[in-house]
Amino acid sequence: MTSTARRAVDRVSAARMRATVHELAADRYAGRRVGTPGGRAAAAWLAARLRELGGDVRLDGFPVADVRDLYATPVLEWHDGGTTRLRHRRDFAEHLASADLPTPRTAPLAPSADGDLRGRWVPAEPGDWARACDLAEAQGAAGVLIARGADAEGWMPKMIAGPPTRGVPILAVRADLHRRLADTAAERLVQVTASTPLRRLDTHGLNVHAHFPRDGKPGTHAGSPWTTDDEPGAYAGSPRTTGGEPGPHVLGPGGGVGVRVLLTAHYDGVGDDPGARLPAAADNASGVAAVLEAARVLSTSPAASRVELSVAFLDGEEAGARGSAHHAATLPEDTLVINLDGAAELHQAASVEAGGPAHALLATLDQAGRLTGAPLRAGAMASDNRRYAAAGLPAVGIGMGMPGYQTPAETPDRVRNDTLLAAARLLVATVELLARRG
Amino acid sequence: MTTQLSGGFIGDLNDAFAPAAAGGCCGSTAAATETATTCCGNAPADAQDGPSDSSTGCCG
Repeated sequence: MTSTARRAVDRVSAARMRATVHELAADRYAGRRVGTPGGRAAAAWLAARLRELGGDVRLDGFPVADVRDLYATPVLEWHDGGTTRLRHRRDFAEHLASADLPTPRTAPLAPSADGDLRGRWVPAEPGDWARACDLAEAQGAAGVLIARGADAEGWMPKMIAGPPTRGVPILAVRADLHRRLADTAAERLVQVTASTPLRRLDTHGLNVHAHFPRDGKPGTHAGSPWTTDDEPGAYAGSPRTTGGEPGPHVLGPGGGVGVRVLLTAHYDGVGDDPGARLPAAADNASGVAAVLEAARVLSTSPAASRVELSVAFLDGEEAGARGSAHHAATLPEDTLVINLDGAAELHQAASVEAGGPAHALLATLDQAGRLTGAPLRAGAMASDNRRYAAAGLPAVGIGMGMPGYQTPAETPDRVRNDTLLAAARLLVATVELLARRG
Repeated sequence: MTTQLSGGFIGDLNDAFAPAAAGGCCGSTAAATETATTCCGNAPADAQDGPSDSSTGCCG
């Protein structure tokens, strides 16, 4: 690595990244679920930051179908002489395949899923939930209670995309409580009262794109579709085959051939619960903070000026990686994509997954890891990187931990400065190395 | 900064090419089974109870 590149890596600021994490985790963004005022406010805030860095910024709207919306706090209690009330997201959680049950329903608990189920709540084990739902639907059961584990801190994480909706209400009960409930029902009559206020929404997401012109003057890059227009949905994108974006290789200063690099991180979260905050600090305010900081450093790096650099802050990842699916089809096929999902708590090594023709990109990432001291290992990254890889692009996904993953415990104080620094330095070093090769 | 030897890939970097990774997210069986291991540098998340057409598996 050249001394210039090393200086670029050393310019990464933990304080700036921490400020970004705190901003995106703030109450006003309400957990940043796709299609919500909080999500749109987060997009506007990010767009403003990218403009400050000199990027040509574009907001790109797209439809998102079938988001699961928990619109009231669900109820679950049982009665067997006394009343046991369970706590939402600690003792039980909504099941994403549940039918909407807005008001509590009281009915006896069936001793098992194999007897008479009509008008009863039906117990089910995790591997048997689909069959239990089939039986419950066929016999007109009150609903299904399935067993599910909690995370290491006793939370049951929230998600907003899941299996197709079934015809009966379904709740997930913490496994130990589920066993206790089933044991009790085997001995005596148990009445269960439960609600699942869960509806399906069709909405719109908003990706935030920024292109950093190689001449440092926003909006002047020849042939670029990027403009300063920030009207959502104004940019329809162009199929790769028609060359809507700059060509696969670009002429650098002096006529050299450069490479095109796209840094991505999703900014959306699963949204607050009714009455409870889910700040989404780790997943993925931390990744956004590291990408934004890398963009700040790279936007003024002489070496990186030989790279065609773009940033995409993606919406709708929690709803099924919808933002990246929308974006991937518009890109030149040799765009090198680096996606960061989680930069909050690095344990032994960052998880890295590669897809598409990413061998050279992966080798460069490895070299950057060696230069910055970031340990890497192969690990599943089921995130936006897969959408780009599925579109045929060289793509790597990087994950550096998400403490409190999609629970109220996912707070800014749990995002570690050293992990933010490791992530941003890794990104900067990778782009610097790509620039040198380009 | 100084060059460090502690970083970079532990093991074969080509293992990062998961066989089912390309297109394997968002509803595939491969994504669903990842709940049994770590994902995104995170502890396992047990939430989806089966593949879906819209789930990204354990990361969201």
